Amino acid sequence: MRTGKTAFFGINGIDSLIGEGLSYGSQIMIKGKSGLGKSVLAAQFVKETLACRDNCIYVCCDEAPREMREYLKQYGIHPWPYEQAGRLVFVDAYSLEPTGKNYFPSEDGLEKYLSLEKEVINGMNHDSPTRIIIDSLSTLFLGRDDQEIMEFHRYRLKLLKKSGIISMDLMVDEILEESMFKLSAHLYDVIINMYYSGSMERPIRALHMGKMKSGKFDSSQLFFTIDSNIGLIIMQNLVG
Amino acid sequence: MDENKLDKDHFSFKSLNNLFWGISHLADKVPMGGKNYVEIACDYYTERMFNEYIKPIFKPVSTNVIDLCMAWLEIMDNEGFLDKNDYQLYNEGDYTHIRVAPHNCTYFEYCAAVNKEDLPVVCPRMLSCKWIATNYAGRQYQLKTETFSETELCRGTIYPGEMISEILTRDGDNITIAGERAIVLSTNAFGILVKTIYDYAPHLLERVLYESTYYSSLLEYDKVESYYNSDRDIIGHLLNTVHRLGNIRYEIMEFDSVNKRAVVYAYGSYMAEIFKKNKLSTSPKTACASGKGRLAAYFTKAWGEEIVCEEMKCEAFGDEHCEFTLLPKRL
Repeated sequence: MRTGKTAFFGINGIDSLIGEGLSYGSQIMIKGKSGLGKSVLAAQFVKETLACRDNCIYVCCDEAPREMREYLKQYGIHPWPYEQAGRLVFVDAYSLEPTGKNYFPSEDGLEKYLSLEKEVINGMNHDSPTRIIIDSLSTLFLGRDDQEIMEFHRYRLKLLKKSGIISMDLMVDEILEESMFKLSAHLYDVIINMYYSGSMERPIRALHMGKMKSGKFDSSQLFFTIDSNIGLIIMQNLVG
Repeated sequence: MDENKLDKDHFSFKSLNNLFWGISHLADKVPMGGKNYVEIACDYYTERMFNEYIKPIFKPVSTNVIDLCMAWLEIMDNEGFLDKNDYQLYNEGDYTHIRVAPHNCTYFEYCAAVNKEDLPVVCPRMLSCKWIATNYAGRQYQLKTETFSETELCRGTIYPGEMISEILTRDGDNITIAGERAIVLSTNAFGILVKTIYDYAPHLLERVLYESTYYSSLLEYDKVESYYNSDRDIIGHLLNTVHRLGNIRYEIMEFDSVNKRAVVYAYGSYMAEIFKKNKLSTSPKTACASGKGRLAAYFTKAWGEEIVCEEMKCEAFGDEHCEFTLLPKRL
């Protein structure tokens, strides 16, 4: 496996905030209300991952992998060759009926999810590092008790860190209690909080890096817009 | 007879072969060189020879391509330059196929030598037939030849078609490529242009490089589409043109027009060089957005539906070549 390199989001403006980049094993939480652009950011992260020749596991909890594939195409990445090469794997945690070997029924316990995730990770090509995205982790947690969530959360992230896997967990604000976010926040190296700023009449999308465990990253507020082909565009980039 | 004195005929024969060999070498070295340069040189040579020596005695029985070629070969045979029995010609619609036994051919040494050295080559004999056809049959003809082999018949086809105007030419103060004014940029100058876009609008860079190449490549395809009969030949010609411009050497590794899939390797990517030199990405990654745009455009035109291109390997990443996979977007 290649060592010594660091990872980026693939989004100018955000990348410039993280200096030398994220070390492998870093954990990222992307948090915000529905429709703010979390999945768009995740799609750009997939694109960056594959362009850097890393492996990518995408866990679909809020829509079927088929829809995510179309979504990726919109942002300029056709998943088919990467899936054929074993560099991109979708886990279906959305569909009601089994759709293949990487299927997780939502009624199963989180332990079963963990063993599926381990199996998928073990099946990746170990010559390249792996990044894993759960879209969204808050949906995976739905209907489960707080203790199960916290135990799973702590164990999983520790395991991923140890394996040098970058994880990106998407969290939808309305789904989980705010207290759950607070409890799990300390487990992450980077938290990107997405929200609406500006007035009610003219809301502006904004984000900031709410928490940087190492304290080495800038936490400026960034305004952004979403282009249907490019993805997130940080407005600071529009003025040079 | 002085034994040290060179045989005059042998000397002329050697001179002719070496002269053509020199033209092929030159065509390989000059920017935008290649087969067309040799073809143009041959056309001029045939025209001059024909007008000076052949024209008064050229009496074809009709303006049918085979009759024109036979009348020309007859004269050459009478003059002792070839044996007309080495030539077989037959028609297939508008196409005239030529088969030539190579060993008696004046240009055998030239063809064998340039073939070994992988230099641009045209068959001067078949090309002269094409020239005669174009000048006497009242329409433009093109020649397509198969790879030369010392042990098999040489094969070529003369077919109706315009000469592709693609060579770098000089037009007064300007140079043109395919009839359009051209500018030559160093990778340093182009790198600065790209870096400026990156500095002011980094989110747009990939899109700018992809789309500018995509749309210009669609036009390139349109320009040469009518000269070839197969999509593979058109794409082969276009990729060869990119190579002749000194940009990138492409190699088609897989070409499945039924399922619409292709794999293309690229060597010597200038974009990979520019990306590395100007630090246009935060970490090593695939860099050839323009290559993707070019191939996506060519294959979209060829296969009649939206084809997308993914770069699976890249020289910017340290790979020995870039690798592109092409497939339908709908897949």
